[in-house]
Amino acid sequence: MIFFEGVAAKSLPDSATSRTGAIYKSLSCHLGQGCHAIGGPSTDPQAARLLLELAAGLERPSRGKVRVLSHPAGSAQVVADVAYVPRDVVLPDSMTALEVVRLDAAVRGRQKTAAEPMARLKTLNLEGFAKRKVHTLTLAERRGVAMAIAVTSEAKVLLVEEPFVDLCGPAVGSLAGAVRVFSTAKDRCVLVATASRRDASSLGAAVQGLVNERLVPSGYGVSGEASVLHVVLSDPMKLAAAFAQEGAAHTIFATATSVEIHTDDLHAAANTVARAAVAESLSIVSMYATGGAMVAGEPDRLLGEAARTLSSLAPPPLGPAASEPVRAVDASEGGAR
Amino acid sequence: MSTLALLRHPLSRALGARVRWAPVLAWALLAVFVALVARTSEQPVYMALSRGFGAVSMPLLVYAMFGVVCPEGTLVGSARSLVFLGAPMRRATFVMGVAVVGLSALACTLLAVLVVAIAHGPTDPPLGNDLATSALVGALGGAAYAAYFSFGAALFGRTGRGIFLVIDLLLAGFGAGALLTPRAHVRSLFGGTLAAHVSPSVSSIVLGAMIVVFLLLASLRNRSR
Repeated sequence: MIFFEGVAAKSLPDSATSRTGAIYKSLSCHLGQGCHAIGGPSTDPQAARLLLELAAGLERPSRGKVRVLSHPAGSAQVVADVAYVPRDVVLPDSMTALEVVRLDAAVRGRQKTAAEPMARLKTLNLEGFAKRKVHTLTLAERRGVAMAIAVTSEAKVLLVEEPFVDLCGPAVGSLAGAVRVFSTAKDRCVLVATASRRDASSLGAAVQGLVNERLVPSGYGVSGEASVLHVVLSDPMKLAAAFAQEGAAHTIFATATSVEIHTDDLHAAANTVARAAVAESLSIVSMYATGGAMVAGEPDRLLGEAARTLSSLAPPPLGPAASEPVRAVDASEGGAR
Repeated sequence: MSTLALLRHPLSRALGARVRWAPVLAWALLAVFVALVARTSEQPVYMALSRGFGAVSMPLLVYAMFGVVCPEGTLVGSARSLVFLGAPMRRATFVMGVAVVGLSALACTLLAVLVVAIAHGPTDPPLGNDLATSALVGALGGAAYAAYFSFGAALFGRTGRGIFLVIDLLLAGFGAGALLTPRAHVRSLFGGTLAAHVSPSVSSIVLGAMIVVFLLLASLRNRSR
């Protein structure tokens, strides 16, 4: 749902907010359906924020592409389907909270389908703010209103920076549930930037760190540690595109010669690779799994199951926990038939 | 998505702002004061419009009006709250610009009419003609200044409209440079010296072009905050 392809971008330091800058030189990854958290101790908060701003279209890459829901980020076709709540969110200050909710529905073109404005505020127990003008709300209250608007906006992509920081009391208790409801709906993607493991876990997010411009599992989160499926092949972007269409909760990192698939469901990922190899006639050189909290031999067993779909991907005999590259295969031959 | 819906934000801001209207009111009162003083001169309407309203009050009033609608100092900064509600950045910026231009044109039209009504004397042309002409020039000049300041803010951020105000003052007397800013054209349309020997009718066209070009440029240049 969110594609970063060879992205070079930077955010400048801001003296007003004491923010430092962040730079990407070549960021490539894919965030699919589900709830993803970028952060943890190894991640620069400004780099995570820049990721959100790129996806929201508020920052533009100097090189590369950022695509959201198959459209360029920030383009008119997609902005109504993206809800973004940064830490320093601003709302129309001369309007009441209720008027802002109505304006949100009008701007997104969803006056007819959106829930009642008061019900939307009630989602996070903020109906008490309905008649207050935004400029009379504290930062925490304003963030609460923005969060209520975002999770009820019927957008397909929700981008949130530090969801529980500077959030007013009434909203804290119900935000996690609202985000979970949002992220479990069909074709929805939630991307959260947070330094807090606990916050990420409460949202049910698969947590990943942003290290050296690569999304790597941080080893925490309710869904457990992620595994990495490495696929070496001639056309990595084709495989990455296949995963994007699949819409599963994987994170894809593509280089010129290989694709790394960070996933909690290695079985599904291996099957997707097998299906894509058949459909796209991919020439796969090798495929192996590393990391994750899997027992010894588990990756090989899963790849073996995938090989039933694509017989040329037969796994090697059982080996250590992090298996080695299995074999060279060519899907356009053997298994493709 | 309705672009008109986006206008709710700048309009509610303008209606809700109280303290920020003070400088607008101050420059309007200055124009009225000059009009009262000009009643004793030989060409009261000309003096009130070209020396008081056009030269001083109009640019400063529009400068203050920009602050009423965009207290952040730039169109992009003011449009940011609409972007968080799902509006495309360019469209939101453009709408903020349209609001500034529209409100400035309205304020300058009303003030021009008021100034003429106060200053009009027996030696002046018929009141109806003066009111119509000054209203038109007020609207054109106010809108052109608003677009001009919007572009300045888009180029240089919060200090941009101040920089462009100084440039407007400096360039007005310098040959071809006077063509680039609204001051000389407004002066020409109010019956003063021509802007770089360009006829008043051409000046009105140039002001119209300034509104469109500066507003579009300000909306397109929307990356800086």
